[in-house]
Amino acid sequence: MTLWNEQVLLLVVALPGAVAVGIALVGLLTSVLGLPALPAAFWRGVGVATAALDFGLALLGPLRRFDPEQLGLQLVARVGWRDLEGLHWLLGLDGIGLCFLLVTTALVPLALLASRAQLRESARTEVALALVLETALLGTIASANLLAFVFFWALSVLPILVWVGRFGGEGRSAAASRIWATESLALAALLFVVFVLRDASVTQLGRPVLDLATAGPIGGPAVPSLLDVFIDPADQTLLFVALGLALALRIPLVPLHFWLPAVHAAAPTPLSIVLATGFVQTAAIGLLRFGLPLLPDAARAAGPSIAVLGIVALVYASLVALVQKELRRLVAWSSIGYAGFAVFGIATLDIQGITGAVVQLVTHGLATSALFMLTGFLATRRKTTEVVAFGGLAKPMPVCAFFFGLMTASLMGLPLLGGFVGDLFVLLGSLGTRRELSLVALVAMVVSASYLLWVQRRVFLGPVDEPANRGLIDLDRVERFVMLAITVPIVAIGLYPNPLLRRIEPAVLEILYEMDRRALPEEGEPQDGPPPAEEGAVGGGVARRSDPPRAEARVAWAIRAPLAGVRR
Amino acid sequence: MGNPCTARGGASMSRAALPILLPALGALLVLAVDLLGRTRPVDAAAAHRATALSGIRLAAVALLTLGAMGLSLRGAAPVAVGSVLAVDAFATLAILFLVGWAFLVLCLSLTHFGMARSRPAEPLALLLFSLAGLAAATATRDLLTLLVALELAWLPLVALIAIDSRRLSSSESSLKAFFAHGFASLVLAQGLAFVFGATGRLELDALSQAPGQPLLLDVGVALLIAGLLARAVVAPFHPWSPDVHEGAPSFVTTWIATGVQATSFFVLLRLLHALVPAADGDGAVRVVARLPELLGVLGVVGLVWGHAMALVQIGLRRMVGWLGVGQAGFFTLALVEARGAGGEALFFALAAAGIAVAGVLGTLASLSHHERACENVGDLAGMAQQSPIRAVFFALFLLSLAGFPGTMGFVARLRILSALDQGGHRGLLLAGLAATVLALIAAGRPLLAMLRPPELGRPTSRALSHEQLVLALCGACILYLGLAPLGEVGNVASWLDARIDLAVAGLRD
Repeated sequence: MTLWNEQVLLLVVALPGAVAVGIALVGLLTSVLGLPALPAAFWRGVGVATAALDFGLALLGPLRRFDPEQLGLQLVARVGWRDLEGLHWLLGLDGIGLCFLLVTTALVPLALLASRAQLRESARTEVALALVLETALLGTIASANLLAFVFFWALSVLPILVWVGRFGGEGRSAAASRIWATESLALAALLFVVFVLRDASVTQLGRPVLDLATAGPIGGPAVPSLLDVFIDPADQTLLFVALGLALALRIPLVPLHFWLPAVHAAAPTPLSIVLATGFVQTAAIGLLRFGLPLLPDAARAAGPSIAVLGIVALVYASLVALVQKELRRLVAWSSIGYAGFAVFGIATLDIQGITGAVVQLVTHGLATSALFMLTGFLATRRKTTEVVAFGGLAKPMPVCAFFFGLMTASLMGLPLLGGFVGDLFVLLGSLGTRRELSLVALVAMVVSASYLLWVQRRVFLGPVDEPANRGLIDLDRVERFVMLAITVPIVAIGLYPNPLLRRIEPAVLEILYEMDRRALPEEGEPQDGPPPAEEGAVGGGVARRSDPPRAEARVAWAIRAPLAGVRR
Repeated sequence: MGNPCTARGGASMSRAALPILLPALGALLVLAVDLLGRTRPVDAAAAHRATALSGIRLAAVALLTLGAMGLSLRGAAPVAVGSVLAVDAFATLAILFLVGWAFLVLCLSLTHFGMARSRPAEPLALLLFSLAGLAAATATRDLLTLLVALELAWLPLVALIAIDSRRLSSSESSLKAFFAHGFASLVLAQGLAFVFGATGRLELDALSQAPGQPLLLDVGVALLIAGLLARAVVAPFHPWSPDVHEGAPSFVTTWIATGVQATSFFVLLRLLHALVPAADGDGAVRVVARLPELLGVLGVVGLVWGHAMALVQIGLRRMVGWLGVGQAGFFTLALVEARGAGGEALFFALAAAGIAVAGVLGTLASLSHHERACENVGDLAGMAQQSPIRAVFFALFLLSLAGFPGTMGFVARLRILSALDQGGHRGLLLAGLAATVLALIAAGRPLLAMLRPPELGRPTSRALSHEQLVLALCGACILYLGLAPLGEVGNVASWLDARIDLAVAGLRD
């Protein structure tokens, strides 16, 4: 049982990748021995079963074992003890990571199920790619070591490159080149962060340390970690620019979004789904787990600029989406816009704003995935995704129309649906810290609602003009199941968001606590020596090592935090 | 390690000289076996059979030579051979690396036997002679011996480059390599003359001990280093390298990119360790104080130039050549911190780059049998479908060359950049990371080309068994040494690390 507790997270992360290696070996053996190739349905089954099993494990392990009342990383798993420049395979989850982990593990089997019509000749390779990608994304989400985070980050690029480059649609080579160039730049930027932090840890702690401190249990001995390393303000700015560049490229934040529409246009449906959810979430984890706690001064200084960038992304993407003539591109632009809104939420540096951004990433990730799937269903039936080719589909495909409407409603932030919770919290958070921008955000949300309503009207409402649309068959049982599986959490979060918020808010508190603890003292405050524990909010990093156990200080800070009341 | 210069009598001296003498003896043996084994074939088929048999026989002799070299390194005490050669821990490891690369090159050269007009004995003997020269160069403690050893290594190499007599480009690139070698030798000899003029001695130790005439010594040291950098393909002394990569057979370019280039860096590392203590003294060699900056500038120039040019190449072999120039830039950056962690990092990086280049060129050789030439990036179209296993290996080699996480190349870059970071060279660190971006993008082009659909009427050729061996060995090394430092399965990796530490520590003593 102890082993299960310790290693369940590792199992969840590694299982898809291990099965992918198995699939590759079976393929190799088949070709070497000259055996007949197994049918595509078999490989699809293997893929869906593995991903579903992984989701089941995530429910049984991380979700059940996760204690919402406990602060810090939980379910910490460490693989191997050798140390390459501070690298450990250290995995752990906070509430935010748990939510992202569940969303990713849930969406992969659904995406494979939804794309069964597309997975035919090359099903074996595509399933293996999907599973490798899942492991890479889960590893990135669960990494509690900066270099391990970079490793998984880099690993996630390879399956995408092969998937787009080999199995993508028109323009796949250009799309693959773009994503490769973008991710190469992001990787180098992340490595710069690793080197500088490693150097700082060697200078201050005597050895390279890239782990996060919160791996230790409450009341346990303090483990030296990155959070004990003081980073001077000039370095913080440099590091925040490098980290921000890498994350902004992946999210992607306007104006660094140049790769995404082309990739979505060429990518197979399951890949689009993963890109719109897991990919964005890995970037968000990078900012929330490493960026904000480690570089608090730079984060505070850059907060307003990032908030502006987020709003610009939302407005720009919404306006571009308004003029899109192709459904897949429209959904891609919509995902850029909502990612911008989430960044805006994080940039409020407020408990409500960040909580809202995480909820928004979860619910909008689900809704956008559903829209990609519905687009895929339409493309399979109609062999096109041009908006002009459709019209009045609510008559031949009422179920499809219903789910499309529901998902767009969630994206628009209608009450009782998941999207509302995230949007509301982000706006509430921004009212406290970025009041002017919150008004702009409100207007931008109206613009984004307009293109969603427009596409809803153009595709599903009105008369059925095209003869080819009259005979379209509605969603089959599997497709309905997939849609229902996505709808349930969206509606559940809309009706009763507490279970989600209970898990996210302590993690956000933890981030804000670390930001305060590590921030440089304001002018006039004493700089020498640690402040008393009950004040325990400000001061330089190294000095803090003599603080009382961090967990107790965290609890004290959380109780005294002015916004702590929001948690209830 | 103790002082390696202690002579211990004739028997141990000759034993210590074995690693250097064996390849030369092996080359002579190859020539003798070829001479004695010649028969007069009656028809074409018999001639073909005779050539194949002769090839196998000669390859076996060469293989035995390499094996004997490897065995002679086991437990060899650090013994000086006279006052000019010392097979110390550093030279032992360097020669071990050379033997490993020579083995890969030997395997790849088997492909060449059936394709060129040359007799199998010629490339094998030339390769072994070149190996003897390089082994001597890594062990030398005397500048004049160094010059002779490099001549011994390079003259057979120039002949090797021209071995494919069917191709004009092979002869052309040989001529270019000859001029480059001539230039490098000239500069090295000038440097040697200046050093002798300043100190009256030619031992490496003299550089750090003799006060002599500072100006003459300065010029001499600068010329020595320039002469070595020119052979190490460091920009701006590199223009011959991409041409040679394009013209010479794969196994020869593999030898240049591994053994030959690495030896120049081994010698540079030894030279820098011999020089640097003087900088701490009374400034006997003033140029030494500026060496890190100079090497840093050269390294950055090479990094940017090599990787940027690799980005725009159409020809695959030229691209590999330019990537080699970029790699040389990285190695030069490691030399900046030669006294710090740079020495160890350089050893590992040389191994990583050598294995990756051998893999890349081995894959290209395996794709170019018969009528299907694989010369340009576009020729790789369809590889992922037609030869998926080779495509995976090729991708692995390219990614390692570009420093992608999870490969040996990444660990190598991590070590070099960490050494620079520890030394406080943040500008160089940034340049290294920028070059990594360029390298990744450059490596991405062939990767993407492999994923494209195959062109009609372009069947792929099967990899021969010795090529499969090279690919498997290189692939296993890259993955194992890329991932072993991260887990608990790194016994061989730990052994390698320990040997590298020992070798570089010996230099510092």
